[in-house]
Amino acid sequence: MTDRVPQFGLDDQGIETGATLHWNLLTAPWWKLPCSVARAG
Amino acid sequence: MQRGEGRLTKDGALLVDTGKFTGRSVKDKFVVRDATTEDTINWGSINQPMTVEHWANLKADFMAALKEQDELYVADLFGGSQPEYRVNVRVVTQMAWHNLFIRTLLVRPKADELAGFTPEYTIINLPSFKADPARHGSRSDTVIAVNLTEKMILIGNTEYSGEMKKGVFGLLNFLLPAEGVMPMHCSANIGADGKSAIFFGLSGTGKTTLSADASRTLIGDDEHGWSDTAVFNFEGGCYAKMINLSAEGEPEIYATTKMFGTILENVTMDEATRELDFTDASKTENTRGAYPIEFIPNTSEKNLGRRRRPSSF
Repeated sequence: MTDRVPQFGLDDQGIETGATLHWNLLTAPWWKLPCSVARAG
Repeated sequence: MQRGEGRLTKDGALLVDTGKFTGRSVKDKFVVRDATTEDTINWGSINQPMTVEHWANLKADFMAALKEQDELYVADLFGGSQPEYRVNVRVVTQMAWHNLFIRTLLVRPKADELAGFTPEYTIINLPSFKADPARHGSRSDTVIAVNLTEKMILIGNTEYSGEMKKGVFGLLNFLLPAEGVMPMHCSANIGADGKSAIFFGLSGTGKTTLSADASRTLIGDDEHGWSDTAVFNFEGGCYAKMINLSAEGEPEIYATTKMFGTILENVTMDEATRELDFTDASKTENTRGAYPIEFIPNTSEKNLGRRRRPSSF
């Protein structure tokens, strides 16, 4: 998965947080997920 | 899945449990009554007012709660498919699957549209937040508060994802009539002759099913606008009822339950085989599946029908 961070962030909106932010995530390809490997095994 | 929010079914869909709430909490939803809304909202038991003071307390406590979070998920999306009428919506969620849900349901910007994305409306969804009726003017510790002046929706103490989707629908219902667009709770598709049809009905009466007819081109299953030039989908995904779903009865929708990327809510799964039981209503009759609209074969490329007048209702 990759984060796609826009130029206009939460701080620009006056929203403060110390959280790790995950921006605009994409769905991981099925075959990359550990669970799919576990199923195959 | 790493966060323990959901499990994979046998065929790759994500299965989640929405906890205490398996439907929307309509009695816990409020709209801030101020100069923007005083004369433009039909106040009553459905559109319940919240005072500006209660909103200020609620927002301050939400902002404090955001500071305490370890991880947050942010999705920048469009409400509405027709570019002239869409709104930019930023959705901030505490739960990862909520972010996947709303990205599935709303219209996803292209990569080049994301870079310069500026949110007009913001939804903050914190299921861990418990409202205080005395301080926030809520009915209970669950709250869905809409402030059309500050362009913000705050959702607390419910894991039911449909609150976010209907929150955006509510925004568009407020905004679009003033622009000459009629918002409609209906499904829509296009026939071989290019004419669109729209299907009205209450929840569970067949909107999603009828619109997914493989012989017609799907526009959308739930929320649309009727403008001077088109019938356009507000959303980029579908939210189908799953109860008693079968391959024979609704093949297109059933097929989505076997696709990676689909989210299934409150459907029963055999823990050993990971097979789904769509007949089990022991938790709720309102079992649901959310999937991107392109999971249905034969969908409209731009999520709209370019005909001024729908052919049938």
